[in-house]
Amino acid sequence: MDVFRNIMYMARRFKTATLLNLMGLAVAFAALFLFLTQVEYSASFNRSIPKAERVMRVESMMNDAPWSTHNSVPMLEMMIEMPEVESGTLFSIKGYTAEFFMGTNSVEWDWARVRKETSLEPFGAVCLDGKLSWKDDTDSGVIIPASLAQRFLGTTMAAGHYLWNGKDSLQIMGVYQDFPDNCCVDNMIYSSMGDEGKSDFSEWSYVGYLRLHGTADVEAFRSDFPERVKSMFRKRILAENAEEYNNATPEERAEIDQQLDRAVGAHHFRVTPITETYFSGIDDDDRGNRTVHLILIWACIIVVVVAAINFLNFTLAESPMRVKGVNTRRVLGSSLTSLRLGLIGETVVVALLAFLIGMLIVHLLTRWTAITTLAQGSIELQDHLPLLGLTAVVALATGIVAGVYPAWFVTSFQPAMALKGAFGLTPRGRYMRTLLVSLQITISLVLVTYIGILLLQSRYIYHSDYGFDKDELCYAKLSAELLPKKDAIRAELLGLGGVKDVSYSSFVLGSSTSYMGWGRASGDKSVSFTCMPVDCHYLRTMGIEVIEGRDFNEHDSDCYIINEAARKRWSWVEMDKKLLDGDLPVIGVCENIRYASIHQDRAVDPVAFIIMGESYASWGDRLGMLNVRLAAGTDKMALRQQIRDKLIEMGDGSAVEVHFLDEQLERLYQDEFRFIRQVIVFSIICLIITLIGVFCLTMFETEYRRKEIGIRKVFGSTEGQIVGLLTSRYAQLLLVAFVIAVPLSWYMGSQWLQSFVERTTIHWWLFPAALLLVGLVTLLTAAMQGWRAATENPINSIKTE
Amino acid sequence: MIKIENLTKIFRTEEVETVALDGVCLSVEQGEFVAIMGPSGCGKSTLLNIMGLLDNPTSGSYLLDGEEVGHLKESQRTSVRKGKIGFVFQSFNLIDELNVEENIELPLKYIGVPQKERRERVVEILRRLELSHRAKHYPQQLSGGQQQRVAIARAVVMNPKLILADEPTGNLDSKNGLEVMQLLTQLNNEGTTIVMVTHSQRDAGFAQRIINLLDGQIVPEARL
Repeated sequence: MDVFRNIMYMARRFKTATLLNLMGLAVAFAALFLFLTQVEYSASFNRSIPKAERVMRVESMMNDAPWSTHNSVPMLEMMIEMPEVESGTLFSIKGYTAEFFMGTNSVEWDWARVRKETSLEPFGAVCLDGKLSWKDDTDSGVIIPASLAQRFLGTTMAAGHYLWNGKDSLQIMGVYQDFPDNCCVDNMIYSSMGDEGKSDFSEWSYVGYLRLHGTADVEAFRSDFPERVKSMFRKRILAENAEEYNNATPEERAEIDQQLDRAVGAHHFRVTPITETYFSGIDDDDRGNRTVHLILIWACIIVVVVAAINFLNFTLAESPMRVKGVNTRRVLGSSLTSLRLGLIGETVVVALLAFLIGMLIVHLLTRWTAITTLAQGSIELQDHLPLLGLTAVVALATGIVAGVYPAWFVTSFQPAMALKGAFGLTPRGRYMRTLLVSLQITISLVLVTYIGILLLQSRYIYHSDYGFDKDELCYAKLSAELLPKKDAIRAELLGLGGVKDVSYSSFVLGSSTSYMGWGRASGDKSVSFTCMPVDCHYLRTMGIEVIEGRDFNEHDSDCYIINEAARKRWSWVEMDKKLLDGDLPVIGVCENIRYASIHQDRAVDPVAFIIMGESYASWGDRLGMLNVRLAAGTDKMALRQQIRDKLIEMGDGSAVEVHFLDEQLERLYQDEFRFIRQVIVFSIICLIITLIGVFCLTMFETEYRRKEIGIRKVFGSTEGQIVGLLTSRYAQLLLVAFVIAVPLSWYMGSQWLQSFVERTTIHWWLFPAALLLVGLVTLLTAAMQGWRAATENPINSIKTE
Repeated sequence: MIKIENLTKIFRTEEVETVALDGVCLSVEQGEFVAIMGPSGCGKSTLLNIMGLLDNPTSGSYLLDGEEVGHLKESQRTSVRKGKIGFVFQSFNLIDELNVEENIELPLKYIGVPQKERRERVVEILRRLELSHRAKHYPQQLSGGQQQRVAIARAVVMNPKLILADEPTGNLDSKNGLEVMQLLTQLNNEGTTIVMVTHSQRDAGFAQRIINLLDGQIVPEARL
C-alpha cells in the first residue's frame, strides 16, 4: 500500500481535522519532552557529581527541633578525620551577594567561604586554571567559576587577575569548571575560611560534606555514624576539660558525666547521600518536592495518553471510510498482513511527523525567554539527547497503538460485504467512538478542575495570612559603614514623608528555609527553637501582633517574645519569668508567623524574637538588616529611591540595594509558582488537545450522519432541530463525563494540596465552572459542525452510500 | 397541482457545465399517477428533486398548488415541503438507528403532531401496510421489500398530497417490486398524487401517464 499517498488523500479530504490532529500530537510530544526535562532535572539532582552516592551531607538535630544542615567547625573537622572519609569540606552559611568589579565591568555575584585545605575537592571540582585550595600558607585570594571568568575576561584563564568588591582587591587564585544548575554546589566566588571557628563548638553556622573512600561500606558508615560522632563529641569535650575533670572528686565527676551525657544526648547527627538530599526539604538547596516530582511524571504520562486517545479516536473515526477502499484491495489480491501493516504504517508516519514538528516547536520555544524561565535547567534539545530518543520512541509507540485497532477494524469485514455496505454507523464503531469521546471529555473536565485548584492555591499562597504585613515593607542590608549609624538612619528615615516605622533585625523574613537554631536544656526541661535577634521596634514595623504579655520597648534588653507555637509547647512559661534557669525572661507571646516555604510546617515551629543585651555583647552587632514600613498609599517606588539615596548619602557612597519584602517572598516561593505555572501550561495543552479531539470527532460524527441528516431534512426537520440532535448527544456525554470527573478531580486536587501545610479549600463551584467551560467548547464545536451539515443540500448526502 | 414552465437546471463545476434540465414544461393534475422515464443521466432525478423542493432550478417557474416555489430559500422550501410531499427512494433511506415505528413517526414529529396522535397514525399505517409485526425491528433486520414498505409508510403517514418516488422498485426483486407498485396504485386510488421516476416499463404501466425525458428535455409523444 502506498502509505504516503493514503495519508495525503485523507489529509486533502479532511484538511482541518488532519491538521488539527497533527498539531495536537506535535504539541503533545513537545510538552512531553519539556516535562521530561523537568523530571530529569529533579531526578538527576547532584548526580553530575562524580560518584555522588559516596558524597554525604552532614545533618544535625538538637532535642526535638527539625533536622538541619548546620554544624560547628570542630564537629565537622572531627568527622573529616574519620578513616572512611577520603575528603571532606565545609562552607560558611553566611554567604552574601555583592557587586564585583574588574576594569570597567561589574557584576553582582554570590560570595561564600569554604574550608581552606579541601575547598570543593569532595565534589570533584575541575580546576581550569591556577589552584582551587589554600593548602600552602602562601596561598591566598579567591576561586571563581569559569562562567564568571568568561564574563569578565572572555577566557577561563583568569588566575592572577584581580577582582574589586568595593572595599578589597581580591586576587583570583583559581578557576573551576561550573557545576550544573541541578547541583548543591553553587557557582560562587569562594574565599578561604582560614582557621575560622576551629575550636568554637557554639557557632553552628557551617555546612559539611564528606566523600567516602571507594572501599568504604556506605550503608555501614551511615548506620554507625550517629553513635560514633556522639562518642567522638564526648571524648573531645572531655579532652578539652581534662584538667577540671581529673581534679574533680568522684561525686563531681559523676555530676560532670551526667551533664556530659545530657549535652551529648541532646545532639543527633546523621549523614545523607547528596543524591537523596534534594527532596529532604532541610536546606535552602533542598528545593525538591516529591509531590511535584510525581505530578510532573504523571503530567508526562497524561499528556501522552491524552494524545494517544486523541489520535486513536481520529484514526478510528476515519477508518469506516477506508473499509471499501481497503477491502477492494483485498478482493484484488492484497494480503491481510500487508494491508494491516500499511494502515499501521500510516499512523506511525503521522506520529513521527508530529514528533519532528513537536521538536521544532521545542527548538523555537528555547528562544522564548518566558518559556526558559518557566523551566528548571536547560531545555535545549542537544542537552537531552536520551530524552529526545525517549520521546521518539513514545511517538513511535503512539503511532502503533493508534493504528492497530483501526487496522484490525477496517480489515475485519468480509470483503464482498464491505464492498457494498456503509460502515460509518455500525454499532461497534459507534460504541467505540462514544467510549473514546467520553474519555476525552472526562479528561478535559478533570484537567479544567485541576487548573482551577492550582490557581486557587497559587492565589492562596500569595494572599493568605503570613502573620505579618508583607506589603509596603522594604529592607536593606547595612554595610559596615552604616552599621554604627543605625540610630541616625532611623531618625533620618522617619523624617521622610511616608515612612511609618523603622527597625533592625539579623535576617529577612522569608529569605531562607532555615534560620538560627537554638537549643537549651535545664533540669528535665529542654527547648529548641528558631531564634531571631531583633530591636525593640521590629514587631511593630512588621505588623506582628502581640497576643499575650507586651511588645518590646526601648528599655528592654536580654529578653524574648515567643510565638504561639512555643507558648503551646512550653507549658511552664510565665510572662516576665525566665524561659529556663539561667536563660532570658519571656515578656510576651506573638502570633505565629510564616517565614519559610509553605511546603514546610515552619509556621507552627517555636520561634523566639530576642533583644540581645549584655549577655550577648561578645557576639557583636548582629542587627545588620534594616526594615522600613511604608505608609499605605504612598508612591512605593519613589520612597524606596529616597531611602536608597539617604543610605548612600549616610554611607561611603557605595551602592545600596533596597528590596520590597513581597518580592523576596515571591522569590522564596518561586519553585512553587514555577510549578503552578508549569502545570497550568500543561493543563492548557492537554485541554487544547482534548478539545481538538472533540472537534475532530464531532466532524467525523457529522460526516457519518450526513445521510441521516439529509433524510431528516427531506422529511421536514429544520436546521435547528438537526443542530439540537447533534448537540444533545454531546450534552449527554458531558453529563456522564461530569459524574466521573468530579470525584476524580477532587481526589487529584486534594492529593496535591496535601503537600502544602496551608492550603486552599476546593470550592464546590469549581466543578460546575469546569463543566460550563468544557461544555461550552464541546457544544459550540458540535453546534458549528451540525450547522454546516444541516445547511447542506440534502440530495447530496442522500445519494451517498 | 404542479405546473412547470421552461425549467432549466445547470450544474457547474470548475471545469464543466452540465445542462441537466433544458426548458422543461409539464403539468400534473391532482390525483394523477405520472411516470417519468428515460435513460440514465437524462435528468429524471434532477426533475424529481426540484419537484420535491429538495433543489432549486437554475431558471424557470414551478407552481405547486398555484404558488411559485421554484426559487425559495432552503428554510422556505422545508416549510412548504413539510406535510405536503412524501418521498420514496430507490435505496429506501431509512435511518439505521431508528426502528420501524420511529422511522415512520419521524415526519410527524417535524410537522408537530402531538405524541398521542402520532402513535395512533403510526399504528394505523403499520396495520394498513401489514407491518405491525415488524414495528420494533430495525432496518437491517428487514428484507428489501419490507424496508421499501416502511419507506412508503413513512412517506404516506402524514397524508401528503403528493408522493415523489425515485425508482421505488430499483433495489427489489420482481415479487417485492410488484407489491410496492400495487401499494402505490392503492394510494393513488385513495387520492394521492404520485410522480414516479422509473426505468421499468412494467412499473410505468401502473401510471396513468408517462413522460419521457431525453438529454434534459421532454420528448414529445409524437416522437415516441
